[in-house]
Amino acid sequence: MLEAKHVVKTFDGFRALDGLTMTVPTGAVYGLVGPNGAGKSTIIRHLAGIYRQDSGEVLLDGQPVYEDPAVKRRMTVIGDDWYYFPQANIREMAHFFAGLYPAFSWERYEKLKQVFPLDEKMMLRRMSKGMQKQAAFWLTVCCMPEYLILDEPVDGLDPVMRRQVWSLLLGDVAERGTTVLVSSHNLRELEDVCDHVGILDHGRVLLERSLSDLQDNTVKLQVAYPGVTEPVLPAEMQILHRSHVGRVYTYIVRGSREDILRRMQITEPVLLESIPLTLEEIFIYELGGVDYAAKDILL
Amino acid sequence: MSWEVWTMPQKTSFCNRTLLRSDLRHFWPAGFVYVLIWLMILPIQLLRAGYDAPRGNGLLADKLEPLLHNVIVGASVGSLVLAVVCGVVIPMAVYAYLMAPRSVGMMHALPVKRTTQYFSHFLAGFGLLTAGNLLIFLLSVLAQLPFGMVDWAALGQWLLLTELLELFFLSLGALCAMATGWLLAIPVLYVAVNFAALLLCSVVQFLQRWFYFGFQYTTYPSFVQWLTPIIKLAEDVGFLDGEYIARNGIEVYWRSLSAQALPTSAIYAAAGLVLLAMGWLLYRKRPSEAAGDAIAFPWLRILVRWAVGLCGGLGLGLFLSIFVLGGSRSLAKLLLCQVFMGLLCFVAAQMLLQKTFRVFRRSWKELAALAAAMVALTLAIRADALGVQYRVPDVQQVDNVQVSVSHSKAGTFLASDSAAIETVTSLHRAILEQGSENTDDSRVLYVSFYYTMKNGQEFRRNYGIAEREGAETYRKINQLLNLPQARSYAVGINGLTDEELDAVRGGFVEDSYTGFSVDLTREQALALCRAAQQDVAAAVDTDVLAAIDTDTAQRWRYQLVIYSTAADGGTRDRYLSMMSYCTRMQEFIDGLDLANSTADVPATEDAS
Amino acid sequence: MISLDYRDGRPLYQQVKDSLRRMMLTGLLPPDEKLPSVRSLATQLAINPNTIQRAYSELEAEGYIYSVAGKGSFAASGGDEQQRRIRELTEQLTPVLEELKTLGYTQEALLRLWKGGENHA
Repeated sequence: MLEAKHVVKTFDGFRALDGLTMTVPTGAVYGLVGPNGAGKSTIIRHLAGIYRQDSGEVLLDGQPVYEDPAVKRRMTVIGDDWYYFPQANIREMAHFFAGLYPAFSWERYEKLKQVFPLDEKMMLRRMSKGMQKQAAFWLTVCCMPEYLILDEPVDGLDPVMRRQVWSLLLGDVAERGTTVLVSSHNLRELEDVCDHVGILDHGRVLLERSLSDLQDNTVKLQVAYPGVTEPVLPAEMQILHRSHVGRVYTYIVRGSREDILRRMQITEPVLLESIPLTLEEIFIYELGGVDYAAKDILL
Repeated sequence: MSWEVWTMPQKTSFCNRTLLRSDLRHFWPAGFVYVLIWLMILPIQLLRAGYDAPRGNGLLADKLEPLLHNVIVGASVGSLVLAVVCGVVIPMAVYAYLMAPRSVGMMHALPVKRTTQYFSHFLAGFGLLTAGNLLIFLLSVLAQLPFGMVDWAALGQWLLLTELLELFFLSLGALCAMATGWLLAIPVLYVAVNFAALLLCSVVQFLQRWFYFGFQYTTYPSFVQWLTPIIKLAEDVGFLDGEYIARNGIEVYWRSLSAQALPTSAIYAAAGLVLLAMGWLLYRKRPSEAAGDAIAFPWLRILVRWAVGLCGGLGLGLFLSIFVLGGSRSLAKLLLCQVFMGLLCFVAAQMLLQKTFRVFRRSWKELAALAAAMVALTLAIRADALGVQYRVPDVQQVDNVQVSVSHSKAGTFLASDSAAIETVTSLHRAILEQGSENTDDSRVLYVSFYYTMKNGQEFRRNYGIAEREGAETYRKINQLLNLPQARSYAVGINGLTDEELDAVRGGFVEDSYTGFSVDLTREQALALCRAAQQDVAAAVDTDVLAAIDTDTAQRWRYQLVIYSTAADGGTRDRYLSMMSYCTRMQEFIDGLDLANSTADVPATEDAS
Repeated sequence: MISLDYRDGRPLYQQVKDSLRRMMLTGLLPPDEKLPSVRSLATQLAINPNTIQRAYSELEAEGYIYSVAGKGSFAASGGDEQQRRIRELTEQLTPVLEELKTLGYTQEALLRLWKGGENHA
């Protein structure tokens, strides 16, 4: 379990992390989403033990991460800007990591040669960004980490390779119980692979839920009424968002689908339809209450 | 390339084998270049010296030994230079990852403690150099084998010296690297730290020269010298002793390190260990996000901008006030210039450190404090709390002192016995008492003192005082210049021994007014010398000062040279000056009848 | 065999369930045939194993599949399949019919629809 508890970090007067608290359960695939500048990369660097927080705790299975090699050996990080030694090729980097991560598996390294169409002897500097990303995955996965932290990892990869990589990672999740923390803008993709989601904004976690919980319990309704005026909805309903086009009203409601549909029926609508929400929509509507500019644009 | 031979075993804290291997794999070209340079200084030079040596019969080995030895000892200069250069280049290489956010992220995410990182990289650099040194040692031994002799002692000394110097400079470079997040700031810091004390001291002395009556120069205190490693080591290590000694029955030129070379290097090496520890502490506290910042620690930033502000302000302010503005030397103008330059430097430093132009809002309080501090410092120096201005050296500690009055040879005298020195210091005190005032616009007398103390320190003063016949100073100058030693010095016969007289070969006299000249025979030269000696012995106390101008003119008129054979077989020239009381010398010269004689005609008249 | 339509509004686990059910109904997955493991299906489809796990758990609860400890999951046997599905669909049908009734949809129109469906079947 990865935890951040009330982490505060200030850079030159700018409060990048403002009492951030999040929990990544063991074995989960946790998606960290947030607008640009929300602090995703910053908290990831804290989890990786690169930065030291001003206050708060950053823990892996209850142990502080910073300056603890025994803890750090169990996790690997792929940053959004991956660095290689000058003149190094993949094989050299593999030797380097093998020397530092005791769980490194050469067997896996050889096997993955079939998966990644890269020349292990070619200088990494000469490769395209996408190929460098692939190399990063190859090397990282061979370290057999228990915790894998990815900062916008697959954005540079082509769709085929993206799928390959996720296959690989999810295989590990299923087989070895690897915990994956992935930050991304690509919510479409996260939706398939994540089972937990954390929404980050201005250095704080606004919302942290299991994906099934979020999706099952957030309902998008399209309702139309015979009259012109909008009826008063049952008071207990947690309405996240409402808007209308002409006579068709759209509500985003929190609660179980069946329950909500039943309640809506009572108001005798002419049209009542429930549409499952995508993660993207949940993200936007959740943030919409926090002055995120795009709220009414997407429907 | 396999380094297993000396790779350190994997200890838990201080060295990580993988990091070490990785560094060596990347930086071996630096080691290669290092070895190449040394190759040209040592082994190849040894071979050259050996093969170029003159061949004689039977003496080959004995003549060869010093040649090889001198090559090795001479290489010490290379040790210092390379140590200084490697001291900045190697840390720049091995700690380069700290200077960019991408690389520092990768390295600090690894399961390695910062302590391990710090020392692994340092040891990689130091180890590379040590390996190079050992290789050169081996090659130097091999280079001497064809000649059948190996100077183990000299080579061993060279190895030790090189290692000690490299330890110090590498540690210094590592400390500089820890303080900054810019790669190119490391050499700047390195040079600054090496010369900061010296620069500050120079600035202070400049101000002292401005404020203090007669102040010229005092040797920097020893702690300042120690704080300027490059110069101190250049003196102790860079200057080699060379002398002729008897070895195996023949006389050979034998070089050796000065006695202080190894002790000084050892002290610096110990200091290096302290610096290494300081760098370690800094690394542990250093935030990863400092990559890209000019200075990695907030408190250090304050220190740097104050240092730049103060030093720049005091020094450049002085420069501005004297050279750029010129004009009168007023305190107010100086202070204004200093404050102005100080603020300028401070703001410039602040802008550089914060990487922004908008620094004024937050720091105006600091600016005010800086201005106040500079004014206070300058005034403090002016106030001379340490009494530098009125200090006269203690006679017991003076080795010799050269006094010069009005820059005339007539008034120049080197005193090396304590009685004379006593006279000099009493004159010095009298001058300080009289002070610099010259309200009646009298002629100005310039008196300069150049003390050399027994411990090697120098003390130079240059006073301009009013010339007043009744004054104590006037009396004392005459007292000094009337001393027999002073006269000998003025005439030019100081240190004239009987041995030298025996070795006299001839001389030369020229009258610059007429242009006529004549060479002297041995007898004539001896006669001239004797005349001079007699004149000095017979002289009575006079008002030397009054006659100083005529004497000087006289000195420039006649050129009198005595040639003698020096101890090493060469020629020694002795220049004599004819003072106004040198009647016998004058008779001698008249007797030469310059106008009528040619160079080769011996004079017919004898000087008495 | 199992394909996922990302533009489909249904949740992924639902799609997996439906695909597997269809396979069992059409005989592509005969009774007592072993289903792919959670892991292999997750990697094949590149989706979260929990999604697969949820689909399997619900299918098991609904009786479409059964699992043997240490061996995996298997398609449940035969005939009840269809009964179960009929039950499910009629459950879904009920609210739809209710709504149609409120809108004034007549029984005759419904019968016509039924017959129309027969023509296509």
